[in-house]
Amino acid sequence: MNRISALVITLCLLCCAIVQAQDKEGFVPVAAGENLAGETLPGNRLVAIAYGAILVALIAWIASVAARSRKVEDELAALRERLEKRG
Amino acid sequence: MMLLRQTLRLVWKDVIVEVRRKELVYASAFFAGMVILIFSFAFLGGLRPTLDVAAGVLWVTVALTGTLGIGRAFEREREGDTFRALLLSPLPRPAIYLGKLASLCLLMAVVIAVAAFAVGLLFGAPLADHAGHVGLLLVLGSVGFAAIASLFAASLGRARARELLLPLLVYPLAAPVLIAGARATAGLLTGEDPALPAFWTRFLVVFDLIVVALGLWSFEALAAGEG
Amino acid sequence: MKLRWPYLLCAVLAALGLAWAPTLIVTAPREPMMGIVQKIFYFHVPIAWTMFQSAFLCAGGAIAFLFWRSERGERLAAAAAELTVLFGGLVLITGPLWARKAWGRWWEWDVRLTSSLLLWMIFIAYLFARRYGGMGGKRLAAGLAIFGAADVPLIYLSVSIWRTIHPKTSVVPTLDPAMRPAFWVSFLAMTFCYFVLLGARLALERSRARLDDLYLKAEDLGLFDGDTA
Repeated sequence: MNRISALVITLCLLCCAIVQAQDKEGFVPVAAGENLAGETLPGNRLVAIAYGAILVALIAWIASVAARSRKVEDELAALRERLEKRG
Repeated sequence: MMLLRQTLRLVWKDVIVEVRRKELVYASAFFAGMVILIFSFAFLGGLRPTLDVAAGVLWVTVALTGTLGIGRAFEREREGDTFRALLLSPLPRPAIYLGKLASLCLLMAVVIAVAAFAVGLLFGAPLADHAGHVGLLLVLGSVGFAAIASLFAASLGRARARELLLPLLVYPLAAPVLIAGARATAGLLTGEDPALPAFWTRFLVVFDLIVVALGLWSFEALAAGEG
Repeated sequence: MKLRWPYLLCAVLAALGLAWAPTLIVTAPREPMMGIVQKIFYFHVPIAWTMFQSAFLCAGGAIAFLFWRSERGERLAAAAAELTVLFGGLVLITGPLWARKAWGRWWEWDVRLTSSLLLWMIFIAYLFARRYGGMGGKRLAAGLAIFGAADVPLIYLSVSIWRTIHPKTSVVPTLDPAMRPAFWVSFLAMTFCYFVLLGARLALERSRARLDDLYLKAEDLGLFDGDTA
């Protein structure tokens, strides 16, 4: 089957799915001042946790990539040295 | 027409092999029964579970048994090197993919029959009252599930830990099928929202068309390295 | 790692953006219904968009690898997949923190949240397939990426199609003018940050490819003959 035509058919089907599944009922917003399920957590703590999590995750990931890169570079250097010794 | 003939020939080949060996059908049917029995031990000790639970148990059983059966079906092909022979043959890739998909759907049909009977019996779910619509949902669910599972089972090749990898790959992709099937079946059994089963049925039809199209498009690239 | 000027430029812009955005977020007006917790929106939405972008990049690289045997495409897909998991994880952390205050519960099994969780799991499965799939693992993972990317339009449009508790996509175009600078600076900061991280991760993949090539060359020269296992 021609790949381009198969992809076009897939995209058309995706559009059909979107059109046929239209549900016009919208999101019902929460009423202002409504106390939801006995909420007592302070909002600023949640905001602080969210931003803290973003910072920690990004730093941890950068550290992980740096550590993996260092390991690969060390292995590369060791292998090059072995090859040079061999001549 | 040629594609259809080739596909049907492949399906017939798989049916003949299975009729002679009976390995997959018996094992999968027994596994489906065992899974439902275990669920009934878990849920039927105390309060009567809701019909939502029965619908969920049915679809989880279909998913677990389907993965086991499809994985074993391809393992058998690999042992005999018959899948490599298929790829080396002049058969077009779409025929191979559709043939495997159809024969795996037939296998799942046996599993579904056992599972539906066991759920109806043990959980008291009135599946027979909605036999037509539930049957349609199970057929659509099988097609969607088998389309994804057969593509990735064929692609696993000689990968390490393929028994572990197949469920890891298939379940996140097939989750929409299971969600749609379970919600529609629950909607039929409980009768709470009449529009819900129709909506999820349409969703399954569209999802199946999309995954089969994606499968046909990518089958050669994914399975071509095999053999 | 040799730093090329586009990456340096992205790094500078990302740093500036990440330094400036918090001041704009703090001074932006509070949303009357949700109060201070709405401030999570200024990073939650850009992170979600970055996750979508990363999923598409991964699928693009996967397609190039599968159909044109492009090793560069495969390296791009691997780097983008890891970042999709990272940013997806951040969406799934920041979203419930906001939801706890806005909806009174941490999680809701509605279409957008469920499909976002599935997207995250698909790309985790990508990393498993690539790492543990052995020979053919890269091809398998590429197939997953293509299916995973097909989930992205569903997530984005889900709030418009289905009845859902999640805010609609129209929230961003209809944002209060006083809130727009904070949002768009955060969005640009996160986008530049993404490209910097992608560059770093790509450099790691390139180093690994060089190492693999060197091992093959060493094997051809008989460097490992007589080595015990």
